Amino acid sequence: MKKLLLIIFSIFVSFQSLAETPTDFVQTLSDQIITNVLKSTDTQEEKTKRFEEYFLSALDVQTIGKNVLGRHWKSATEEERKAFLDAFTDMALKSWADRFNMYTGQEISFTNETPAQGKNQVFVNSFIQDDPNPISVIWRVSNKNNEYKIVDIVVEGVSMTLSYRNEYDSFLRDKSLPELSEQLKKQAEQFTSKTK
Amino acid sequence: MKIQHKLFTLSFLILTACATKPTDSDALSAYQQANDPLEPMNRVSFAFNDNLNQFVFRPFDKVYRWIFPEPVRTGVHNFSTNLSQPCYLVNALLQGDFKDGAQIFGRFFTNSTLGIGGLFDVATDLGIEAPKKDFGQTLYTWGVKESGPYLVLPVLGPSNVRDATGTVADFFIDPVDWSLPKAEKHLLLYRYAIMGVDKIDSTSDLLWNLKQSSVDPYAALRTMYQQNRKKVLEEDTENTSDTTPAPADYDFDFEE
Repeated sequence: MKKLLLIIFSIFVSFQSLAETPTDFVQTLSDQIITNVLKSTDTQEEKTKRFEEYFLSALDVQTIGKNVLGRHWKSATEEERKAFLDAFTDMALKSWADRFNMYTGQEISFTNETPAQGKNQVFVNSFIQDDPNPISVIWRVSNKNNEYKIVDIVVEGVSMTLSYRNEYDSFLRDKSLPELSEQLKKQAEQFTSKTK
Repeated sequence: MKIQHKLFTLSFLILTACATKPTDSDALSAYQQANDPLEPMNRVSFAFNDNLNQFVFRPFDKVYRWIFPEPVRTGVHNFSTNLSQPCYLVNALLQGDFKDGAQIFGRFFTNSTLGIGGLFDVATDLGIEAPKKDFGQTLYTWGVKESGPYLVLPVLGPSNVRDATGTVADFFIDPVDWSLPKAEKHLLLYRYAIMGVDKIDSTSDLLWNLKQSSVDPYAALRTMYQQNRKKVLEEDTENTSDTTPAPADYDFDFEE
């Protein structure tokens, strides 16, 4: 009995890592977002909350934030890092929710996986079937302690992480990291969706 | 003499507008990656475009959307896109890409006839692809692999030295323009007006979103343009060249 409970418990705990391949992981995630957020008829508030949960559980925001800051991360204090990660997460969440809202029900097809630089990382290649030309979406997935996490999303050649990195690097040329975090916080608060 | 004088002033302005190279090694590599020595000048163009978008294009787009229902706007978009096809075709041929050339020709022929002068995009329904071919790409396939410094063109937006040259060339090689008899040249004005309206309708909101979600919209647009442009160029030559492609930009070293 104890054994059975343990098995049930471990299945429950490892639900996230049950996905067999990185592609399965991304596919399950995108299916969930499409059914439970984008195509759902619930209130906007409810949907936003749900998207937030999916987004935060599937993305390794800590790793993304660290890579976005690059050399600025190394020289930052623990407090500065935390303030940045909080502000960055909020901003990324809002602008990505906005981007996902542009989705109008097209089918996503997963083609293959290709190796990436870096330990235990792989690119999951997919296409959104849009007319007249499909949109390429590449998901960089890392496998940390048997748990898949998304660390970058590349849409039509444009990497989210690299774009944030280049943008913030330009900002940090004549401003400090606390100023960046402050600015992000301010902008996230004011962010309103303008997508038609 | 006068022109020389102007050129001198212009080159002087450009030179003095150059960004200062950083000395720190990390900062230097970021500077080189941005490939933007004319940044101060580009930022002025960017600010100009940004104001134009905010105070002219976006209000205009709102009125446009208010007056015309979506099917009409889609028709305008299709018509404008269809008139771009002859120029794409010329570039496809210049690049020796006959496969895409055939798709473009098929698309133009189908939409101009069945699609009633391009108002309806029948070609897409029939599964004909829609490759885009500009002269910047043509230059790339001819061996101009380096883009040259980043440029922000007034009104037209992000570009670089090679692709801006391509834009000018496209203007001259466009068969729609030179096939019109002299007496009908005024029609071109309408053509470019329609193209402009469609462009504004498709980009003004995106620019607004970018501005809202960026702490440095100038740098954000620069890196997005560069990454996307690189993908378009490399993907396009993937099938025709036998060299192994360089690792993609997005495959950068990712620390755990």
